[in-house]
Amino acid sequence: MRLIVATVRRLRVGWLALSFLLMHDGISQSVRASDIDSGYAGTTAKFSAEAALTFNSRCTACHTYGKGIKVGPDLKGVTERRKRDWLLKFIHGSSGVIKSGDPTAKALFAQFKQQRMPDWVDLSEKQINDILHYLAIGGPDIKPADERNAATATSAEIEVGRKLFYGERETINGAQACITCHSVRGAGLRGGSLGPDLTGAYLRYQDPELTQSLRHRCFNWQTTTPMKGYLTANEVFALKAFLRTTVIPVKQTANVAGSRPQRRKAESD
Amino acid sequence: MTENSSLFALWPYVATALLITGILIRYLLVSRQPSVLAAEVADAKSVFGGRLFRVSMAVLIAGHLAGLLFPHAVLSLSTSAAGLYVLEGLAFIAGSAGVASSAVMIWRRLERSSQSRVTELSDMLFLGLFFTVLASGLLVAVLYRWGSLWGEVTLVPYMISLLRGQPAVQLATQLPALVQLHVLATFAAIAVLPLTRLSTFLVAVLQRCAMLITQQLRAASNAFAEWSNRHNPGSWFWPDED
Repeated sequence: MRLIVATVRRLRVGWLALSFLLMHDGISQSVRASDIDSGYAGTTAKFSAEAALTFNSRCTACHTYGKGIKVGPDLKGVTERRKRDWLLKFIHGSSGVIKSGDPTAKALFAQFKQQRMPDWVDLSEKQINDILHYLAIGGPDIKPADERNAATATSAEIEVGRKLFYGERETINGAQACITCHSVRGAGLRGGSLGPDLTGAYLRYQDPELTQSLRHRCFNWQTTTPMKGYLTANEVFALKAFLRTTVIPVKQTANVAGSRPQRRKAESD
Repeated sequence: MTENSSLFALWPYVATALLITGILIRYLLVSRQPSVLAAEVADAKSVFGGRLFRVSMAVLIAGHLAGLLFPHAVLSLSTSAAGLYVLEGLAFIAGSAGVASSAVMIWRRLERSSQSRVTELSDMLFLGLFFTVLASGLLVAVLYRWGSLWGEVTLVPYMISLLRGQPAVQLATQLPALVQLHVLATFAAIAVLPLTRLSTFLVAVLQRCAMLITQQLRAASNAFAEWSNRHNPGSWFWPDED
């Protein structure tokens, strides 16, 4: 009997080890998913960054926000035009709603040349509600924090960027520190050499291009958590500001920004 | 799906299937002949022996497994330069020792003749592939610094995706050709392994496991028989006559 118990115990330990191996990535992803930082400056409105990302990746191909009809209707004010329940049902499975004979759905189907919207069955009710909330508060009109020019960064923001680059500060969505693969002037041997040296990347790409580049994940693959590996807008801005200092001295940064001399002064202090 | 993507999506599974099938067949062939297995293990030790080779392999395999099982612990080294240098330095020394010892093994194989040409050929093929794995790994360490860190965000998620049955091939195909060679050659070596004398170690381990399981099952069945005899309801109605 003792032998059976011992065997079962061993099997249980083995199973736990295997479960850990298969699940540990998922655990870390679910923890990260709860940390949401919209990173949109100049607004008190709070919305999920994931909703903004989903809206940009799935809706903007056919819809505009306040710029008129594209393939489908303009989505500005859609949350006032339609009831929340109806929108939820329609976004989740428009074909079913049209087939059910819903008059609004049928009218839209006829108006937009029988172009049916994809059934976003993979989106949960919460995800759709987050997108609708994002639309309701005028999210697409709010300028993201990372669109600010890096020249306006404060010394504190540059320091955050430096810490993010060197991995001294964790990113919210689990994106890896840049130093894992890249180097930069002053990093010495610490910088990785899988990717290019990023000294001068700010001048090479210029501010808007670098913003676009930092908004993408370095390694693209399907993850269970949509935001996994992405930088938030605030993180993009901070990194951009730090990369700028690798080619443009901080003093010059401060002059352009028109604010107090920053990091060098802080260092000399 | 491109050819490269297919390779990274299918080849690992094919290689693993070949390994399992090959080892099982070899096990079935020698399981009833312990003396043959013992002789084969002794022969394999003469081919794949060498303390330097074994130690370097143990260090490299343990390092790769640690990276797979404890990615967060390895990634935390990115904040400590000293820890990173020690880890990478150790891996580099082990890799260099592995390359040197496998080169010596290939040289010895070339000099030595064997009765079985097929085994000799497959041993050579395996050693060649293994040398490619080690040499490419060493070159990756030199050319693309801090593989222990970037491997955690590329190759480890790729391996986990393979274990989940949903290979994220983009993670591997985005990497430099040398890294891709390292991965594909590793799976090629795994596929060839059952044809080599090295597989006898695995067969021996499998036989030992089978023996242990059989012993435990036998003990369990004896325990159950004893328990059922003691609690047999028939004895309440028809007690022993004597």
